[in-house]
Amino acid sequence: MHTVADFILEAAENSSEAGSSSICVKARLEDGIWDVEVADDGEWTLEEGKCSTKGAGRGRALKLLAQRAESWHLEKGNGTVLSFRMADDGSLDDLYPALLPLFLRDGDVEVSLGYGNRSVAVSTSMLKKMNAFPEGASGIRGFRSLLEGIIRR
Amino acid sequence: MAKLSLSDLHDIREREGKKLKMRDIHGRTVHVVVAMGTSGIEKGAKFTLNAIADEVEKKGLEDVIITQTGSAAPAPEPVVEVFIPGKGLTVYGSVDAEKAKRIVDEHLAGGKPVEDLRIDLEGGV
Repeated sequence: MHTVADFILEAAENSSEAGSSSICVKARLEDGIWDVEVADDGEWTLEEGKCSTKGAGRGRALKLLAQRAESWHLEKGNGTVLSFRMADDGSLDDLYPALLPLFLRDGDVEVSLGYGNRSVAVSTSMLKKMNAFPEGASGIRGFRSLLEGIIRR
Repeated sequence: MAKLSLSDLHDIREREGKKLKMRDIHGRTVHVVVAMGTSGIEKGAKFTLNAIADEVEKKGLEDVIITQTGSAAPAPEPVVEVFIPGKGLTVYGSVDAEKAKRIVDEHLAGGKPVEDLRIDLEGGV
């Protein structure tokens, strides 16, 4: 069953399928509920209500999201924004396994996570500057060290 | 300078094309792609990808770049593709975390594809 982290990944994958080159993830945890927003510069390609497993993006994952999330909303226009609210399931407690798949993709990614009065921000450009972009063994090691050092819940 | 034949031009294009592909994977020589669509995630592709990254890190393999792509359905997911310039593409199916470690150990580090895990991407196993 898809976790909160899985749905963020799913949203990012759908953004890629919709042709986006940059993805911005903002997520805040409050009172046990994650408020997530995934914004990108891609194009909504599906007609309203249609589902597709590949190519057109966004379809099947939205169906799963509708079943699991407390609420969700997709805004299309100049780029798209997918937002959803979901009960915390612990899948974002350990940042390294949660965020690794997100950064192992084409395009630029920015992630901002908020937990109460703490927050963490990670981006493709920041990782590259810090030699912590997960390419090759040392990059993966740098990525792991960075995330393990940033925040502990 | 001697005139180039059509065959020469084809060779140049192929050679430069391969170099271009290497630049696309940032100069690394081995490209591992994990299919991460909805069905892949449902079947544990995230654990597969993390296992590959962990093993690449443990083995100290600098020449490997790992990326992800969309769904590989109807192939048996999780699907992992390994591309090595000059050696071609190997596709693996039903790759859980344990099989992912074998792929890194035997294929990426050892140079030998894991035959019992290979699949034909179009037709399945």
